[in-house]
Amino acid sequence: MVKDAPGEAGADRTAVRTAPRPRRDQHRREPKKLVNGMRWWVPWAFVSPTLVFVILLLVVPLVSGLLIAFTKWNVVSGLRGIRWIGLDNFAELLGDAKFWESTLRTVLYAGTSVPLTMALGLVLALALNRPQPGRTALRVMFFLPSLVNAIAAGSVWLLLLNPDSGVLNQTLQALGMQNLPGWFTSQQWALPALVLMSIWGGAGYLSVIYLAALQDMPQELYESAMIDGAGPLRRFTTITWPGLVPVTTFLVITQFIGKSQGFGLIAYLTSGGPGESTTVLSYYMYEVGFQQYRFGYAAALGVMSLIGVFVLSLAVWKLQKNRGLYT
Amino acid sequence: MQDVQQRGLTLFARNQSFSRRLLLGGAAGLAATAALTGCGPDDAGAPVDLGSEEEGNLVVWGGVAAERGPGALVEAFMKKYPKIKVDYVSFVNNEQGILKLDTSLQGGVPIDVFFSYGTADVVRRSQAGLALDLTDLAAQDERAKIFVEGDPISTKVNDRLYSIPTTHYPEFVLVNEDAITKAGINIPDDWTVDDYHAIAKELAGTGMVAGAYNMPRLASTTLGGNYIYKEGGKESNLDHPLFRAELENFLAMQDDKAIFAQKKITAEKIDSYPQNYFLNSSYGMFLNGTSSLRFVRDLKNYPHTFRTTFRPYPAPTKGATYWNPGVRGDDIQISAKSQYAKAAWTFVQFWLGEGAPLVAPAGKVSPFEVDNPSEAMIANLMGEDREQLFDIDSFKRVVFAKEPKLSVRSITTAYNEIASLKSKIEAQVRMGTMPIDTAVAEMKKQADEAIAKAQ
Repeated sequence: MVKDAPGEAGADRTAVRTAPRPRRDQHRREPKKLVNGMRWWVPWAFVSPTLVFVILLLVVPLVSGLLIAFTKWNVVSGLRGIRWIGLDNFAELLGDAKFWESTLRTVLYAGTSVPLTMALGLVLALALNRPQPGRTALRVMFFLPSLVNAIAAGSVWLLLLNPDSGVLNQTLQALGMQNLPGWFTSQQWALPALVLMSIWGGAGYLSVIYLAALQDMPQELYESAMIDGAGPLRRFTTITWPGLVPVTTFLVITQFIGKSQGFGLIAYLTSGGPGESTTVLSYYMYEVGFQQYRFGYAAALGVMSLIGVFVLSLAVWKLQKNRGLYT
Repeated sequence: MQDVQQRGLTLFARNQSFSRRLLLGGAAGLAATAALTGCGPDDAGAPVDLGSEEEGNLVVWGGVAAERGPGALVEAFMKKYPKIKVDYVSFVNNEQGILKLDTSLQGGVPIDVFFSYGTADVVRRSQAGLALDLTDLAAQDERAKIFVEGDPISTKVNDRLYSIPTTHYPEFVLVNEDAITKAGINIPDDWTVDDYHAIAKELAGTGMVAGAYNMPRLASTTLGGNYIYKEGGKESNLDHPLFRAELENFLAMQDDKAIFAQKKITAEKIDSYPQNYFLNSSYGMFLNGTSSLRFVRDLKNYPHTFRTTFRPYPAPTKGATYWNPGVRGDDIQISAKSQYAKAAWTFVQFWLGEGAPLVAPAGKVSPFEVDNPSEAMIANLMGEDREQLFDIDSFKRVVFAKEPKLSVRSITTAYNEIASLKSKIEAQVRMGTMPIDTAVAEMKKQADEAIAKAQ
């Protein structure tokens, strides 16, 4: 904010009150305000191409989705067919058992697969951070699952988890286990099977992120700690883990968003079944929209999902604040 | 508008700055405008026809890949009508593909002729005003007039015809002839669901994984096309005793390996490619339609040595009149926004008539070939090795039979949702995770809720 020069603006204001200026003087402008030596709109001009894309590809769909959530609309009837129904979709949603069940399944799926994937990713990263023979090959090997096409991986898992001829159950049987899991054919085991796949597919990727963070850790802290006699566990809890808090926060939020929107594999492997056992919120949204053509209601489900993820992200962010080594 | 432009020019002429608020407000306004108009323009009355019966540019959207017949048909059409240019676009007829066609039609993508697969799609598109009313055109056409005369034999919307079926698609049983011959089994044409069960059980005893892939239905064959509704579609009919009997049949047939166990189907995703298991002799009887013929004739991808014979859909009870749950389908429609509607009608007539045998390789039998099936159509349908692979006499006897009649569905309220929930609950019963009583009650409850929501 540019302050008025003494004896300049103050004197003018008095003058204005006592003797009004001619009308053309009212258009006289203050000297241009500069931001970093530029007119304020110059930086906007630079970012405008990106801004246009963000508005078209992010803001417009978001606003559209929000508006559609308050309507009854089947798409094929066009704009004429849109009927504004206020909060009716949200009221229906609160009494919709399938919504609550699918939300619970989403929380279960994301709530188990995210921490387990991250824990395994961290363990792999810690193991691979040490100098050892074949370290690069191992890193590549663990990262490979995240490069494999999800449908191809799903087909392989379908074979591995076949309740009769699958390698996993045959191994468990050879070990003497009774009542083997039915995996994708069982209502109790289908969701755990998806969690298992999710861990396999994601741990390698997370280990790479953790590895990068570990390699950025200041070595002098470890050296000081060792001089002070701190053991490996002490070093992990007082140096490594606090140092990893920022990246962990980032991973928790992005992984939870990703898992709560997980759809492709579920559509391919189970179509939400057996029964409704793998109908998570994103799949339920798909059913409501694409099968039932109730796009207003599907949008309302999307809005609820967005709010849920936003609240969770905010909570995680608040929780980690001031807990990290560098935050 | 001129005033707005003038004001804008004045703003620039004065070299005034935009405020941040003005810029962001403008961007938000742009976003909201785009959000509201992003779904494309609305209808603005019937477009002027830019062509004629023999002149125009057509874009045709169909669910069959061009190389399986439509490409040859389009080529033959353009040869006959050189002034009509046709672009055939194939879409995948799954949920995403169906929505893509819906939004394209609604959004004004140039589409003149399109295919709808299933009554629900025909009704939805017709009710939304996306399809041209073909009632009068059909009434004047020698072939198509059968769809506007007498009792409805295809889908009508508000008693008007918006679509014409291009296929006659009865369901029937494909039978591994070598397997039944070896087992000394004779299958009569007038067989019942109980006979099917007994024969499937016998076939399973010959070393196959199961006797058959799937089970003949009782409700749809007894009650006709609107079998899942009562009260004119205001209530579901899933508490009818026949649905319970179907579930009991499922379990009985699964228990004695007459049909595949649901557990196996789910674990191996067999429902995505059941023909593989028929053609590798894992089972001997396959309830399906003419679309399965393209797999049987394809020895390169499905090598097999047995011959396939055909039997009618089993009757629910001996001597009863019943419906074949198949349909007259693959409905062709003309877009209400077509700028070449006359040329589009010429194309529709060609598809129904002389073009029909050309799409037979995709397993399509025209409703107009049922009375007098051409050898060209049979050859295209069954391929070069047809004598070796098929019992052609039984095929003609079964597929072109007058009885049982094909069912006609006229109610589609929440149809997709009910079909989906019914299938899921049936699978749970077959998995043994839901008792039949619970299943029947749950089907009825969920279907009624779906109908109530859709109304």
